[in-house]
Amino acid sequence: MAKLQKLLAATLAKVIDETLENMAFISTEEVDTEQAPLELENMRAVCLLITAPVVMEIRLGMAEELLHQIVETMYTIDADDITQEQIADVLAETLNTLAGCLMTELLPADQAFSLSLPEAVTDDLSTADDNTIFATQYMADDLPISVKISAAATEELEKILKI
Amino acid sequence: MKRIIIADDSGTARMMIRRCLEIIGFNETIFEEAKDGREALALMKKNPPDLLVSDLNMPSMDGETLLQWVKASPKLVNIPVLIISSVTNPAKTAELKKKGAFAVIGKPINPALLNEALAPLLPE
Repeated sequence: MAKLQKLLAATLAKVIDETLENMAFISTEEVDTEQAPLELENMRAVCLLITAPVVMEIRLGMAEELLHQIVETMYTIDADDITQEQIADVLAETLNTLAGCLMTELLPADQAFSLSLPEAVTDDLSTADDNTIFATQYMADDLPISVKISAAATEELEKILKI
Repeated sequence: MKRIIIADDSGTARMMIRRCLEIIGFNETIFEEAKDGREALALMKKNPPDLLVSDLNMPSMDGETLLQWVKASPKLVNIPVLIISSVTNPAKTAELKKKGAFAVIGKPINPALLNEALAPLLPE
């Protein structure tokens, strides 16, 4: 499990930075959550299932203010013109892209994978449950991002990743 | 004037794809947008486009089914289909090309990626 968590940490840090840089010219910085976990207030969250080759769930939370900044940059519109639909769509598309990049980086080139459509969620992002295999936080423009990965078991994934 | 249909359930993704296509030379182009494969197919049947750009993961009809439908339809078979999706790796890309995709690129996209994928189709 420790090897898997280390691999997830390194891969996720790379793909979240690349994804946000490419989509909205925003850099991310990983936060040492053991030293100083961020206050996850005024966040919006979305989740998505990886349905093959193993079943896992990824939850992404981003600060509302950060999402507003991203929508403003991507759509080149005034802050007053931003709609809730655009905020939700940018968050969902970010997770969709992030999950795809993560699986492409993690899995062998000949291993296909599939994802479900993203769904908005309203749960507490700061707490891990029994199925959480990895949770981390990042900062982007001094605003928090939270990622949580859950799975019923990790043996199959570890076998595919040969760790 | 060229016509391009962009099929993606995300409005943000459709907007990004359109902007990138405009940057690489498709600026005098009529763009039509569809939220899923069914909508895209309806638009295509009404007026076949010069290019179809499609996501894979969409509700109602996914991009792979749309690709198969297009390639099985005598009226639409010659339309190039560019797949842009987060679910692309070498295995999936090979499978989609075998099914008739013109090119397959992964998200996040940028103009350089699209330029490379669509080089033979770019307006002069």
